[in-house]
Amino acid sequence: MSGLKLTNLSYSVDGTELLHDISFTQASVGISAILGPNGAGKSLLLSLIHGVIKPNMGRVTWDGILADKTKLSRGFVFQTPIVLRRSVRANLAYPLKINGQHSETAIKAMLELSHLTPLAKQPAASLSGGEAQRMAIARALITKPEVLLLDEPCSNLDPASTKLIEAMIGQFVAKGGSVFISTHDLAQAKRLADTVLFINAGQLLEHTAARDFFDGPETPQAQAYLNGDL
Amino acid sequence: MTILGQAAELVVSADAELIGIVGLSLRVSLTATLIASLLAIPLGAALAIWQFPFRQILIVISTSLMALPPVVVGLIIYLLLSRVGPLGHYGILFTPTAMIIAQSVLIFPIVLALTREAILPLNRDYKNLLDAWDVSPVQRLKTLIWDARFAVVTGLLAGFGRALAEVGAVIIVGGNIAGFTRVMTTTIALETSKGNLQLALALGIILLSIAVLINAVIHWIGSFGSKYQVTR
Ligand SMILES: Nc1ncnc2c1ncn2[C@@H]1O[C@H](COP(=O)(O)OP(=O)(O)OP(=O)(O)O)[C@@H](O)[C@H]1O
Ligand SMILES: [Mg+2]
Repeated sequence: MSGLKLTNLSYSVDGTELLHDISFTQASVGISAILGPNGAGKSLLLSLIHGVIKPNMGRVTWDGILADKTKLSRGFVFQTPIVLRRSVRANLAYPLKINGQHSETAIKAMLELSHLTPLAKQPAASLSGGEAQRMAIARALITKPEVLLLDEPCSNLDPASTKLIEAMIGQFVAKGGSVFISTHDLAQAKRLADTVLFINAGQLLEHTAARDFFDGPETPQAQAYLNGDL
Repeated sequence: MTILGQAAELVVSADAELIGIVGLSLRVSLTATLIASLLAIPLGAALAIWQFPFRQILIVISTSLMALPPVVVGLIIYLLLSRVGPLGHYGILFTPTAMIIAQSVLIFPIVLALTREAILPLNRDYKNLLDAWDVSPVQRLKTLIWDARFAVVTGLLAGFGRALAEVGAVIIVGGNIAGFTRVMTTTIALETSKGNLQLALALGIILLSIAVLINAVIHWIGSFGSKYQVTR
């Protein structure tokens, strides 16, 4: 089976079930948007999909292999960008370094792509929110992953930064990469997504083509969410 | 000439005895700092990063060591190294080596605690990212120590300062032998009691200058390091 497969996945903390019996398969093509209200479980789902946290029940596989064994073939960008206390350039160099594959060309290309070349030597801590987010995405892309997992990469960003990030995503997909992105920006989801995963209160309620979802979702919860009532 | 004038004269003229004492002090304390740090920095970082058996016990032991008076550390090392002690056959009591051992023991818990404190918050920040990349334990240790380097070096300097300023342990295990195990602090203690205030004061001036220098460096490192700190 090629792509992502979740089988009866549940996740709970201290006896509270936060994600409930989620199963789906998704081929590794295009962009899948993960939608749902605050606290629905989008961030948890992304972490489980990547394999940074383990489900209490069920399993996550990529091309048939357990997620936590294949992390290096994916790039992950957290909801709040995590900044290494180094220069911007050193932040980008880091994932290459830990994999023993340093490449000046790759660093330069990523600095260009994320429009951070003039800031390369700055401590990454001094970046603005949008710049830090761009850096985090560039840092995730630099190892040439097959899949990119993005947790609300454009929250708090101005339209120009959002556009830039969408361009980075677009270029990655054009080269054959696949993307999972959680977002609250419905316009963005419409622009980008091929597929929508809608979750609410820890349950996967819909998994459909984006066009169908936005034309008329099947569940009343999704309808309410799109209307801004959930 | 006043005593202060004579003391200054000793410093300026680079008096041979003085230079010998200062040199030995620096050699003993620097070596001790190096040895203690080589063990304490990785261990302190490991204590901050991972849960493992005996972790709590290690933390308690090292905290108690920090509160231990230097003379007691000196006494214990003396007993271990004395001719009837378990390590007596090495014959290193009353040598600079014994002083290095005593100072290493004194510095170790300081560097350990300060390293752990520096790495704890950093590990909290980095953990998810490093997990997402499957960073190996050794790489993780290196990354966190490197990115906490300003705070770690500060701890190291604090340890060095303590070693240099310490009297009780080195006088017990070193014996304060002229030209052999006499360091700045023990010389000051001895010469003052003999009424030879010039040499004592000259060494005092040097010790004070080194202390000021160390604190200036710590301060400078602090302000430089804060540039890389995430303030958001
Ligand atoms: N470690 C944890 N311990 C306890 N509860 C948790 C933990 N992590 C997440 N939760 C809870 O799980 C639920 C889902 O969290 P999650 O972060 O996945 O939401 P989200 O859909 O990403 O929300 P948002 O849109 O606000 O980012 C929330 O109610 C949250 O409080
Ligand atoms: Mg979230």
